[in-house]
Amino acid sequence: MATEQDVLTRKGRFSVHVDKPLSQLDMPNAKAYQAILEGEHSGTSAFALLCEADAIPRREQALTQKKLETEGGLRLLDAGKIYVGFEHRHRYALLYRMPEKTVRRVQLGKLGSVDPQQAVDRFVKPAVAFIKSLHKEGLTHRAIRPENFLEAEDGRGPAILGDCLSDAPGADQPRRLEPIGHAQCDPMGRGRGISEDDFFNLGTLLIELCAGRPIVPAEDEDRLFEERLDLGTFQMLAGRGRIPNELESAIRGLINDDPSERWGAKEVDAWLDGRQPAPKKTRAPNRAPRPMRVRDKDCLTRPLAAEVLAKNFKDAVTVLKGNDFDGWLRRGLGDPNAAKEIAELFEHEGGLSTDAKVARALMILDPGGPIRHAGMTLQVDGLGYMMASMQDRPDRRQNLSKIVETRLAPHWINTQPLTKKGAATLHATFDRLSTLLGSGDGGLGYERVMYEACPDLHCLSPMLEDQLIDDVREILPAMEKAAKTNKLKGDVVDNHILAFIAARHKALSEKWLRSLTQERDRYHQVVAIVRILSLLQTQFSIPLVPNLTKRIEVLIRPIVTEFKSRKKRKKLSDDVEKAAKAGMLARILGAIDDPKALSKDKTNYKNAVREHATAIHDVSILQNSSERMRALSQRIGEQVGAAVCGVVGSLIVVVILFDRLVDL
Amino acid sequence: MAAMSDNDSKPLAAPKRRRNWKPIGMMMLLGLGFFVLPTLILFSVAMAPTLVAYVMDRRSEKYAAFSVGCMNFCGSLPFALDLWLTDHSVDMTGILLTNPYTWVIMYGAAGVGWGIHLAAPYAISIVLRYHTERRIARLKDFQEELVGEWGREITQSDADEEDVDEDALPPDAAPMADPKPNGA
Repeated sequence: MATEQDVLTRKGRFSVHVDKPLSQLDMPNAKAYQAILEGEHSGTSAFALLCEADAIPRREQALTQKKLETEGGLRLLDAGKIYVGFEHRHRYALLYRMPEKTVRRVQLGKLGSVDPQQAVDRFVKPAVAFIKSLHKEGLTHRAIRPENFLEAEDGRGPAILGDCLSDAPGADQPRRLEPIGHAQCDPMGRGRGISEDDFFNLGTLLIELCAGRPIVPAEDEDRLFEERLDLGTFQMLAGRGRIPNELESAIRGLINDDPSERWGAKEVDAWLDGRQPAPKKTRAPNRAPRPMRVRDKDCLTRPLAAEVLAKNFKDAVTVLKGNDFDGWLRRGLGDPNAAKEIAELFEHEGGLSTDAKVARALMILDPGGPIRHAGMTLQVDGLGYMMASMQDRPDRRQNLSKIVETRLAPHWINTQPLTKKGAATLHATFDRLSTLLGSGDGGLGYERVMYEACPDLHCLSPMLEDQLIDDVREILPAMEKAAKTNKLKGDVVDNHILAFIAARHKALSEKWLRSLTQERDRYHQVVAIVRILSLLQTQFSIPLVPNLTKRIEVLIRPIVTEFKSRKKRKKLSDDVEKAAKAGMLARILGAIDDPKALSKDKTNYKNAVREHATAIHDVSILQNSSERMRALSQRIGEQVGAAVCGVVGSLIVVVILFDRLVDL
Repeated sequence: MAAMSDNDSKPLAAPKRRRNWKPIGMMMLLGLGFFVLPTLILFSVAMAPTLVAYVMDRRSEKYAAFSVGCMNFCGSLPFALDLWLTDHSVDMTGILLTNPYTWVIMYGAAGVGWGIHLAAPYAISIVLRYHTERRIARLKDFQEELVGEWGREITQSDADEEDVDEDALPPDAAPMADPKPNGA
């Protein structure tokens, strides 16, 4: 019988039975369990994929995918975090409709070679239906591989394309199945890509299904990848006899290395309808008659040279600046423009670091390749995921920061031979990120860029990480909970929390953020923190947060002593204490938010010191003024005496005269 | 010679005749003096203390002479009136001056003048001292108030406070007006 711990519940939405695992549905970064849905999908048989704590599920895509009613792939019913009691933390769960028949995960080794027509009917057709619906919404799957298909136990009927949301896009894809530009990347840096990348995966999938084994043996993967760079994917595979004849034309169209020449939905539809759209001819990279030897490798093409140089990044500058390389480009490849651009880059771009210059030179050599910088390789749209996965590795952080700082991403977009969809938006975004990281003030550095570049990322603050905060509206309640369990440390907020708020709450003024880093004194920094949290409480109508306000009161207490005036200190302490008890951040802010209070206090203190000194001086003068006082008394006394005599005398004279005149 | 003859031929200008008023003045003064002699004798004797005060008072303002003079005149006036309204004669002056009562009144009044002149500084000194002590008390209260508001450190900050320069304050600078508590 299931105990309370065995059933994880998200009230009103779903519950997950961790005592009923469904290992056949597991994903590399998520375990599958039986699940029960409430509400709209109540009664639907479902299973949940419980993502690993350190995974970065594609939350943004899940929001849209939930609304799609499409066959051919797993139907997402709900997604969201759920509290896992025995781990004392939240995890992200993806709730899928359970396939009608009992299913198993396709295993290439067990499946054997599939008849090309069967491969198309059972795998490609349903998958195409599914990915087309994603593409319509501007989404990509990026997890199309044989192992990510589910088929009925009897091996009949259409296979179902599996989950693509439990990890970063393309992160779990084998390198051999990826388009060249993505295969070169670190798995987390492959990015969501474009719809054509899904069709490439479909092409490689088709080859593997027909072959019944990996298109490239694991032990030969590196060597064959270099061959792939030299010849092109199709040529390399065709040369090894991996392309089934019946599908040659379709595969040629699907695995074209040039995305702009690759088959899209229109061509695939035509092919599946029985027509044979002519695949555009695969253009093999320009080959030099004699190889350029780079680190014991003979390179005949620019992409291969770029790949080898990227792998030997430190030595690359010597090779790139060398006459041999220049001559090879000019005469061997007949590409004087590339040679000239590289030479100019090293001669004139004075503001760039050597690493950035090498990275740019590699872009010139291989414009279709990814960004390659000091041993790190990524696509522009994979930058956020890379930053997130490397955020606790200082050397990697530094490397990624350099990529952003030196504007390699916008530069990479500029070097693309054909403008990709959304390139202008991407360019503007990365330009802004470079500015944010470069400005250093209020940008909150690496973390801010990371959250901006990766909208799927939850708040990674160690204080809130167990609560898996992926919505800015949840930050304050989460902080309240953390305060209750004494998990809030230091300044209540850290760089992660602030960067997350800044990236997810667009209405938050940059000025407020800047005040956090620019304010010279502790008092104003704390005011800035309270102001931001108060804004969240007001804007999202978050109820009282007494534990958090109490923690903030503790934070404010020492800074109250910055005020010299005891009256002010007492008033401030009393007001903050009352506001903290009430749990209203706006009231705390009201008590402390006077931008001129501290400077006014300092001025008043100076005045008080001056007045005190003057008073001492005056008392001393008054106490030591007996001689002066005596002289003054004498002078005034004589004057007063004379005046009195004058007045009295006059009166007496008048009286005497009056008396005598009356007698007369 | 011709020139001389020219000069000689000019008629001599008649010398300007100056009227000499001095003898007339003297005559008139003598006549007046003779006429007011009894009064003159009376006041010469009666106002002697004023003369003494005038001589003794070294101040240019001559407050002592003024005080004594005022009262001395008040003491002398009744006798002058007796003289003027009864018999303005030297005899009558003699009668008045031989009466000890006259002397007591005239010189007593001058004594009162001296008394006022000498006592007034003491009275003023008492008032000033009282006023000063009250001001010192008020300043000390103000200091306490400042310490209460800002803490003891403001007394220690005095030396550090660059704005307050003891040397810059004049040694005989007038004490500040009524202190007002800082409005912070």
